[in-house]
Amino acid sequence: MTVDATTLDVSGICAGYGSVPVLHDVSIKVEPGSVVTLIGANGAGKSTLLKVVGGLIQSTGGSVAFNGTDCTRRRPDQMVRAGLGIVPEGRRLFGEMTLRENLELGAYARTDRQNIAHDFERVLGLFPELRDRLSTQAKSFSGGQQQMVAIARALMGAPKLLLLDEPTIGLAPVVVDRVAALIREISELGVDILLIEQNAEVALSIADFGYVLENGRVVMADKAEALLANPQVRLAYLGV
Amino acid sequence: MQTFIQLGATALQIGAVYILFSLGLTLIFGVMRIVNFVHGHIFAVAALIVAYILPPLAAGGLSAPVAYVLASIAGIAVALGLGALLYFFGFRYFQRDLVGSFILSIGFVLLLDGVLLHLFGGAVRGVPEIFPGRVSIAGAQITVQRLFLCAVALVMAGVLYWALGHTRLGKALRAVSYDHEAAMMVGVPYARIAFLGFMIASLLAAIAGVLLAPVTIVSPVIGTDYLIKGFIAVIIGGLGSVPGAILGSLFVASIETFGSYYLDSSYATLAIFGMVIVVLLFWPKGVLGRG
Repeated sequence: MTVDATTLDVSGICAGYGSVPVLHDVSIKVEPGSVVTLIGANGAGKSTLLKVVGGLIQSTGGSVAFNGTDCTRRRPDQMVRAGLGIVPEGRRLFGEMTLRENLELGAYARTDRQNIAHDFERVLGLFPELRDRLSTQAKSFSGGQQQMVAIARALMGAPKLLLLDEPTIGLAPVVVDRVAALIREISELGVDILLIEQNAEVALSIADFGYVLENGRVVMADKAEALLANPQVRLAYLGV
Repeated sequence: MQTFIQLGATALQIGAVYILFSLGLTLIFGVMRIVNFVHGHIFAVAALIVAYILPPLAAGGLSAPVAYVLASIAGIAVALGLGALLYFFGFRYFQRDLVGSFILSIGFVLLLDGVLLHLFGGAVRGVPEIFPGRVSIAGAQITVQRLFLCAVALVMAGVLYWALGHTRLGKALRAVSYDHEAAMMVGVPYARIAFLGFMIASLLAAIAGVLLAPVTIVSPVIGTDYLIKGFIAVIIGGLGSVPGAILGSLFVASIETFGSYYLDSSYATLAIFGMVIVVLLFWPKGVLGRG
């Protein structure tokens, strides 16, 4: 493994559910230090790709390399152990457990237990509004706060790469801005980001590079500002 | 009043065994989303082993408690071995498949019914008294053996309840039970946690088996009655809920005890099934269940 290995190298992935194919020969890359976004409409296959990378569903072809190591068909806990953090669609918090327990579970797969307490403080530093509510059940937080908890939980695993699946969906515009700022902040802390979004405008404004997924295929790949200026993207995803 | 206390004590003794049973059922349902109808046979195997090897051990000159502890260790070990076999050759392939696992566990029930009958014979076995004597608590007469059973069962339930809230494994079990995919996405190894949950449940059943062996007559079909009562307890309390399992068990035991005394035992059994219907009408997921 070289120091500059591509963080995530998804190559020629085909996958689906049962006999229904969803992804066809999808290749994307996340380079170290970057924020990459994958945009596309509902049903384009964005979440399926996340599940393949996370090991939750098996691909039928292609490969996934993480930090230069082949990770095709690894189990989710192996991927997390290798440094993958996942913020799933719909947040998927452990609603009947407290905020503290949710964060502790975020660090479940870590082997460097002695650093967990330190990271706990660091993560709470990013989310000051959560600090006083550690004993609150996760399900009693507001939607925006739950999104923060989901991100905080993933960060507790000390990931090298953070996958975020629709983190802004259903949130008020002011909260969307907060999440966007947070993603940049996390990126500056040295965590690479793969952001899966329907909200192309927000996603492309914070990303360095973007992929457009349509019907399970990558149809465009370019620098984020180029995609933002692309007339086709503007028409299809930005509504202008 | 005296009668009432005595009945309450009896309900607690019976309830303690139901608690061990229903905690296992609810734990397995929580982590694997299956109902394990062969759970009663794990219990029966532990009880049978104790009944089978305790008399020769005691006849060999060991004191009763020592012989009992040795027989119990053997019984629990064999029951856990059986649990592991059932998991690896069966339930592992039917996780989160309620219908498939139901058919599988009925198959195991029939298979083990035959195997146990063949190995241990149909005759009931008495186990010699381990802790002789009886004590009087608040006017209620309880044999020392039943008091011991009750204490161990309640301690086990307490330990499990505490461990689920405060240990790493306990939190992983709860997380898997709440949302197994989300648990996988934070790095909880689902397959290992499901296996451990299954084995902890089997351990509880095995402990119930060795505790009950000296206070009852042991036969290969001993597990079925407890399985049904334990299952009713978790249905009433809510599948997957630990407090629900404990409350449901005490509730079933109370109806059984008080009903048998004040009405008659067949009415008590009818009342239990009647209660299930009423509970399911108003709380389809059980009183404390979230389903």
